[in-house]
Amino acid sequence: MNPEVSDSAVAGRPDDAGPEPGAQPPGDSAGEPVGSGIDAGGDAGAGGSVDPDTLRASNAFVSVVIPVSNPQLDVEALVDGYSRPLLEAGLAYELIFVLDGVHGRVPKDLQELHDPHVKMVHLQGDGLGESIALSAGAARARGRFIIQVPPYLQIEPVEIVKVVQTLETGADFVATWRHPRVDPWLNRLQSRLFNWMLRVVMGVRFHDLNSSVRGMRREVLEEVNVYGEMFRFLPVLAQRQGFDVVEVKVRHREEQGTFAFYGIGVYVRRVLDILAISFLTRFTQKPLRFFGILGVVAILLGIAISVNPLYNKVFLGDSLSDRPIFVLGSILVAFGVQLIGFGLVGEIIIFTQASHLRDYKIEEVLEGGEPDADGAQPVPEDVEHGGTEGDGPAPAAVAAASAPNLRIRELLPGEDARWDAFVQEHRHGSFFHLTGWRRVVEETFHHEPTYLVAEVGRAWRGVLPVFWVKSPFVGKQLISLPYGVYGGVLAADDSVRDALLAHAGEVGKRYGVGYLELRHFQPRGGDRISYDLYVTFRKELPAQVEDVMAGIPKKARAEVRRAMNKFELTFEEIDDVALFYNLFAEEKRRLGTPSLPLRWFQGLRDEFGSRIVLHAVKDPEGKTLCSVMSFLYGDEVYAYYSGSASDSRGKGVSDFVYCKIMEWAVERGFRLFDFGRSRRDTGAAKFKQNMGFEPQPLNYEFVLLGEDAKLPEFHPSNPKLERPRRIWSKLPRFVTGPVGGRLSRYLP
Amino acid sequence: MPEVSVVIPLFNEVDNVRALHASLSYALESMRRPYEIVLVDDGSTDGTRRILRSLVRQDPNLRVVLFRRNCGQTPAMAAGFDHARGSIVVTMDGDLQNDPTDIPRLVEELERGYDIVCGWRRHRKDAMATRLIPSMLANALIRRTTGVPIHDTGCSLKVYRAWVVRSLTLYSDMHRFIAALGAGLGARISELVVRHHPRRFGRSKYGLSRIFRVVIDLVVIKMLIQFAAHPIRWFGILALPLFLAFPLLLVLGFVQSDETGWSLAPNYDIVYMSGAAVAALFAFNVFLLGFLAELQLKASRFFRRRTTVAATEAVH
Repeated sequence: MNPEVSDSAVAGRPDDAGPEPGAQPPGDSAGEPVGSGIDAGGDAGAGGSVDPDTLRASNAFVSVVIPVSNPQLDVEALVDGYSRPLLEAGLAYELIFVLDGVHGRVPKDLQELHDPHVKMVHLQGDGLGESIALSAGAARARGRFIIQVPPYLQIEPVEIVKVVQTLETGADFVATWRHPRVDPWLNRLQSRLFNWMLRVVMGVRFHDLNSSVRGMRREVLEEVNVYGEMFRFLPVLAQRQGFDVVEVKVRHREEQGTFAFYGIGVYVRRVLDILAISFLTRFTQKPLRFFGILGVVAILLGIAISVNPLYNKVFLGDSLSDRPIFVLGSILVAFGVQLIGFGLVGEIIIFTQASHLRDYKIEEVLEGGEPDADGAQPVPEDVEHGGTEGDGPAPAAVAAASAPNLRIRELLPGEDARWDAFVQEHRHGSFFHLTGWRRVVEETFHHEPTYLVAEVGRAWRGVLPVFWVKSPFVGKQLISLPYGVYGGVLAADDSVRDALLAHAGEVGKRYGVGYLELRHFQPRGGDRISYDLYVTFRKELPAQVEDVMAGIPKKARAEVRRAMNKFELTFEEIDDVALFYNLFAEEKRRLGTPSLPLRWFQGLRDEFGSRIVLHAVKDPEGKTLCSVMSFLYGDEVYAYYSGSASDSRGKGVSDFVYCKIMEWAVERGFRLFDFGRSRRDTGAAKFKQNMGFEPQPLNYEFVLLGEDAKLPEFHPSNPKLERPRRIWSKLPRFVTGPVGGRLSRYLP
Repeated sequence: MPEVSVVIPLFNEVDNVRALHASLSYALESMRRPYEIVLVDDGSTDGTRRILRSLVRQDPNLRVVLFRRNCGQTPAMAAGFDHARGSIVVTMDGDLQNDPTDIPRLVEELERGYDIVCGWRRHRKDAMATRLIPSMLANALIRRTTGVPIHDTGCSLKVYRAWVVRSLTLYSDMHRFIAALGAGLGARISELVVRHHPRRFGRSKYGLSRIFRVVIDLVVIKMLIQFAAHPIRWFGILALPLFLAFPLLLVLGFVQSDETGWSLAPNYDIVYMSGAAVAALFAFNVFLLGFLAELQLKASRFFRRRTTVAATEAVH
């Protein structure tokens, strides 16, 4: 191998001269905003103070490795395409072209660019393959982060910055998922098949292993050996080695033409690769576990096949047996024994070679009593935790209205804790904004989340969670947030909010949705389309338990007393989600709406743990009449889902249970009781008013995106839906339960 | 130089590690002989490492090995052995279910002339259905197959002479069978009842699914301790049923049975002849695999290393 490093600086950009070979990555480039205004380090330069986080960002020197094996290459467009986003993000970087048997025009063009960021590595020999090219490129790379990209713009180059950011949050390896795909359907189908097979055989969950854009820390390549076609499985291998592998979605770019099948050999090789890799990663240390199972299965199968012919021959006097299947049986048995033999040979090989397979990696050995060599420096894992949780929202320190530096990006894996902290500190944050809600909605209903963050430098200024929901009833839409009653933008000021909404609009257009639904509680001024179907009911709780009853109007109070004294109902906290669910589904059916699936409630319970409480009301015989699921958020209690048995009417059960939940909340020091939303002027709304709550308007808001988008008319108050609702309520439970659970996916 | 080295793999034991260190130090100080504690952190993510860093500054008898990432219990144990300097090596769990005050007794027992002393948790404090019953079955099985009469293979509180752990390379789940493998090397083994506490903090990291793997591992251990020097014998045993099937099937091809009894068939039965041929073919194959195994063993330095380690320890 014979690397050539061009080192002449480009005229007219003195502030960004190429770093000296071998020197530390430049630490000062963050202070000098380069290129356009979208700059990660912008606020540190403007404010004059140096934020440690910003410094850390600039230390991320990124090496982009581009293996080239095709001499048809538009060098200029490629260098320009990959350089621009990296420059704009203020990252120090280098582009390493690894030329695998490419001569002539490409190296000449590269040299003529005179770009100090561009390096070239010539491989000696032809067609050595991507694995070797990647290792060779990584050997020349100086960066801590190595990004592998193909020699054409397969994804939007801006997304590389996202990969780098994910690495910065602590991931060791970033696999990308081109989503949505824009290449011909045949390619997509093949790719899907390949990834599906991989999932089935190996049980790993990657969506797009064929995407050749990956980001990794240097250590990954040092530990994971890749050879042949194995580079494709790098994420899988890295994960098996214990590295933290994260998948991020990237925007796919139109690819030219290649609408094709490959040769049959390619498919065969792919399948063999998958098998080899799954064997190597799983059974390297335990060959007998693999061969033993196969062998035992073969033996049992063989015995089963041959026992009948053998019996007939020996005891029933089948003279000339016409049962050639016996041969198959005996082959299987013998083959099984041989497989076990193979396993044992494998075990002996491993046993004797085990000392070469040292399978641990020591980071450091600390000797007792010595002063810690690292004493002066912060302990690494502390920094990482501090980075995600410690610096929280704290927007006050940053000068406000720095709109030019405002950047909108997606939430990265590993930032959930920071997101939750931001939500909880924001005045209008709600339970539904928490990332737990996202996880449960994603798991239960498979809607796709896009969680947007607005940041200036490293400080967060606002967030907007949206879900992409496809439904045959209401069409495609973006909702913030489905299944919740509050949602929408949480922002430090109006400019941030508008920027987030604009970005969400673009996301919506990309997904081809009709409108964006924002379930805002707080009104916001200006021209907008809103939706005043719903009201919500919230009230401050009294300080003393005794005052709860006093705060309820007389009539409802009488109902509560009647429930307690006449019907001797009791109130308790329960743990049984299934019990709650039965009542919930029962009530939903009576009302003529599909229920949510049991998985949803179990998912909530698993995700939020003690922040979800279940209460139940029982009659003296111990029958549960009513159950309520409440969410605890800060000092607020949301009585959110409820269900009651059909024979519980006229006993004041509802008045009783909510009164008791309020008392329960007061005892535990909660400040605010949220009775949930209702449609205006329905029975439920009247009931809540009778309990002494005042309706507050909900300022749901719609942003129309499509050409002929219109507002949805699919809600329970629509008279057209009267009949289906009546029919639904007549169907038996065993139909409405499962069907409704599935239907609810489309009724966010 | 320390005489006694205590090796403990740790993984996410943030609540236990300080208490563990305190009680260990107390127990080992009472022995009045030089000791060291080797704590191997197997890539914890819960703050265990931070505590280890602060502990190591205060205690000159502590060595801490930090893994870059989680590698598993056996590699952690192996790394601990590699860093232990004492002539007596003690292993135990990091979850405080073992009692460090048992260590002096076990060491005393070792010095009565044994090479391995195993702890026996006679009164275990674990869930009956998921832990105790599978464990009893597994132990009975292990006793029968390995022929090493210890009751509690799963107890990680064990004391070894250093040569035992030095001559074994640990991989996969082997740490559980150090005693059995040691017996294969000729170590003398004893057993003492030790105390066992219920888990105080954290969660147990094993479950029921382990038992299947233990069975497969046992077959391997059996082979390694009894036949490692001559694998051809083991493969011979494996091939034996096929060898026996060959003449039987061959004979079946020539005879037929009817009401009167067996008689020579008029034509021979091609199906059973083929079965016999298959059996013979594969029997030879399996037997010859044994030669491959012999080759592999001869090519490796395993046995040479083992004898040199044992010899130098004997000279000490």
